[in-house]
Amino acid sequence: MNGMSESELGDVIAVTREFATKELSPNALELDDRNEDTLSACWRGVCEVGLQRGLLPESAGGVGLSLAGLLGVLEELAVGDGGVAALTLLSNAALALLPKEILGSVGDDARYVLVPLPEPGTPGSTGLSIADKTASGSIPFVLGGFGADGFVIVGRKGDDEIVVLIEAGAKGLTVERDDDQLGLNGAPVAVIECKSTPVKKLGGAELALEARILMNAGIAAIARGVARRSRDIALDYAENRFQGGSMIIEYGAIIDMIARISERNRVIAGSSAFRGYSLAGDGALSGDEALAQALAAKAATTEAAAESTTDAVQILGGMGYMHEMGVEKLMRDARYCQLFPQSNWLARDDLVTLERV
Amino acid sequence: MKKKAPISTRTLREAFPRLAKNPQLHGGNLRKLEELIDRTRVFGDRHVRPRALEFDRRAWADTDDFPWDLVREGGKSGLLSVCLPAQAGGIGDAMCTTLCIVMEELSAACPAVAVIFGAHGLGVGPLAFGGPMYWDTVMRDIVESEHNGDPLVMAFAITEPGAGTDMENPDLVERGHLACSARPVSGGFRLNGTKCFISNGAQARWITVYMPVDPARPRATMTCFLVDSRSEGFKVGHVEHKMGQRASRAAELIFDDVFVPRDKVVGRVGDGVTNMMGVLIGSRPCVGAIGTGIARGAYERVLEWLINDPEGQPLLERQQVRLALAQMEEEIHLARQMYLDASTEFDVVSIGGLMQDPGVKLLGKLPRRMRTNALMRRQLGSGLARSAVMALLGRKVGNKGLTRALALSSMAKARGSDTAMKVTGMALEIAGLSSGPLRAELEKLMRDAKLTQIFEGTNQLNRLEVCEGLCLDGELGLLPIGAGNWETASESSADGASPSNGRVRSKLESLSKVGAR
Repeated sequence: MNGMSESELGDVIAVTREFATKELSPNALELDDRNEDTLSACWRGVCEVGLQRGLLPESAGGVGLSLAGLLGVLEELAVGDGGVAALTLLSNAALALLPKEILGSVGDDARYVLVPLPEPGTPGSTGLSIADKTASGSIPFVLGGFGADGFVIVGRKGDDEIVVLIEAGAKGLTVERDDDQLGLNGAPVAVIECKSTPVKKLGGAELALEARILMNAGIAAIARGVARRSRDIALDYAENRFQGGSMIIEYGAIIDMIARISERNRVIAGSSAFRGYSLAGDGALSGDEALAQALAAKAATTEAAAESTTDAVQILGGMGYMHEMGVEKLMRDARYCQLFPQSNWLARDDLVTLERV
Repeated sequence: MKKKAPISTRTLREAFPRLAKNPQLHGGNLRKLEELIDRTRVFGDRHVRPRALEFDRRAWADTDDFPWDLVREGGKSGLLSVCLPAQAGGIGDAMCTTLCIVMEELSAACPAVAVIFGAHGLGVGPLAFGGPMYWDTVMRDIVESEHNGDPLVMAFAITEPGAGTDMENPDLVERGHLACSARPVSGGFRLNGTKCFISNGAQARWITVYMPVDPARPRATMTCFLVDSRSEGFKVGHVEHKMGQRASRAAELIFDDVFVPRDKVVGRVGDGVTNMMGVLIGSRPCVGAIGTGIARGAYERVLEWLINDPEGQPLLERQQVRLALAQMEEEIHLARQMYLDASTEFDVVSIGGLMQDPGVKLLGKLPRRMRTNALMRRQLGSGLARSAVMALLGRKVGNKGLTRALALSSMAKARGSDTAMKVTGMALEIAGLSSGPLRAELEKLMRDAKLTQIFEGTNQLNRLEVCEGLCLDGELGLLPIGAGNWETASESSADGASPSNGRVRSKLESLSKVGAR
């Protein structure tokens, strides 16, 4: 728990919204086009407000947000750009797991990312072998990893969960950009190779659980922001595009699609899943229960976002398929929300495991 | 030892058992189709699939990039002439079904490459309504270009910046915001306006373009023009950056007082909507097939990975994955049946059936030398010849038949494209983000898939046409409503449009009579 009042949180959300509207939305296409200068400028903006370490207390240079507060911030950022929102989530999740002595040496605008390794028995789960002091092998997909200053890796050592830190520039570490990234391009994907690369152990199962709650709840919030943006673009277009002599919003086919986008956005905002992970962040739920809520929220919200963004492209028709309109980007962003930190069918597998406990 | 996925090795008869029931695909014709599909598969496996991502990246980086080498290679397999009638050197019988199967096969390798050939076919399509006069001109040029390794591609231009869906439905055409128009001038027409999102538009040698002659009466005066891309006043504008199907370039085409001679009017002035909708009746099953092929491509890739890749193998033990695979197979099978129903309706019952008309076949049997002599060409381009095509269509198929064929085509298109989106999403969900090179291929297919729900009319428009044609048993006004009225007797006479040769006149008249039976 922290001491931030509702009105203070409201101020943070308002500032974030303004930043997303003025700095991220206008640059969303350049971020999608992987313009590194634009990304650096946007990241500096995030850091100036302190959102990259929003969960940390003010004494540690943070904003002192609760998890629920961070989710609100992420949603607003994602209305501007889902990739930058993802980078902010990854940074918060990574920094939240760092001990004070390491945190003290992390620069204000440094980019640390959390790297959740795939679960056992799924692709990519055996690529990196973590020993006591070193790691070897590869990680095929590190969201936000290209250009990162540090990697907080949540993986396994044998049967046990382990959380370790690898600093950028560490011996034996190579980081290459994945040029085929589909969505969330503001968080550039890297392929990482380690050859006896030094690691620092940060913790075990308890930290790993915290990380999983954060990642799933955070991605759900980002998906909701992306879906909100798609609603705004689709509605604006439908009110201004004419077909057969009438605004297209007067046609039943369009009304139905916009209604469904709105319905998904509103139902998810009011659903127990969404409220659930907010509760989780305020410590009202046990760790496993919080994770279950986060997984349910992630699966439900990201699927809704994928459907809404796909519908939004459809409403814009041929225009929607063109890059310059910025709506097809949302569809790609939403797809990555479905797949990260794991595919939804795997999230559901985990959910049932938790239900059985 | 790695096991091989048993996909892509199915014979034509195994994958499409109903083909043997198509009367146009008996014996030798079915064997010809099998050979064509084998060639297409080899072309796809050797030349397309391994380079699909490379084409996609290149097209994104450079809007001028176009895989001409691939088009040339495809031409060697006959992929540019497959859309032509037999009389012009194409495959002829069961043309729509053949094109669909080729599209599915190519799309499983790379949908963008399939669409390059598909958009070419779309550009050729309107010429079928121009009657036999194109068999020995543009169509023959296509066949020859294919043989000499210097491929000639075509494009089809209907969409305008302010009129997308408006241009794909007879009622909306009348009420839509159309900005392009063709102005009659001595010896022909002057075309003005901008068309957008035109596949192959920047590469095409010939483009079939639709514009109304009287902007106040677009439905009644919509006309198809065959435009030479080397014409003065024609230029290519913006080339689009698309989410997917990138190797198939979509361009803006600008017409600044482009002159089109009267003999390059396809059909009659005012036949445009019938012509355009007729083309869509034939092309929408092909879009259904493209969607089916995209789904198949995603399914094949993920299945092969699950069977052969150590990273994927453990997932195959999971029941959720097995159920998803079964559902994908089911969806693909259903989508395929729908496009085959639609293409068979086209080939046997509606528009394609006209090519089987004894009168048309008779013209096709005339030695080419006879068909190409100046007098005969003049007769084939005459007003009577142009009218004969529409008369035949009206009498043999009629508005009701066209509406039903359109509904079946639209249903196949909507279902195939939805299947593409669903199956690519499922494949990506199974493989996840850590599946290495497979991920990029599946992501590309998903990007490619989305366009199939949009082009050739959004799925919403297509489904409204299904409702009209099948649910309500209705009739869309697809036949010409004002054709011929525009042309005055003096214009016809000045063009030499009135046939003077008795033998040809009697053939043309017999066409109409045969159609009446």
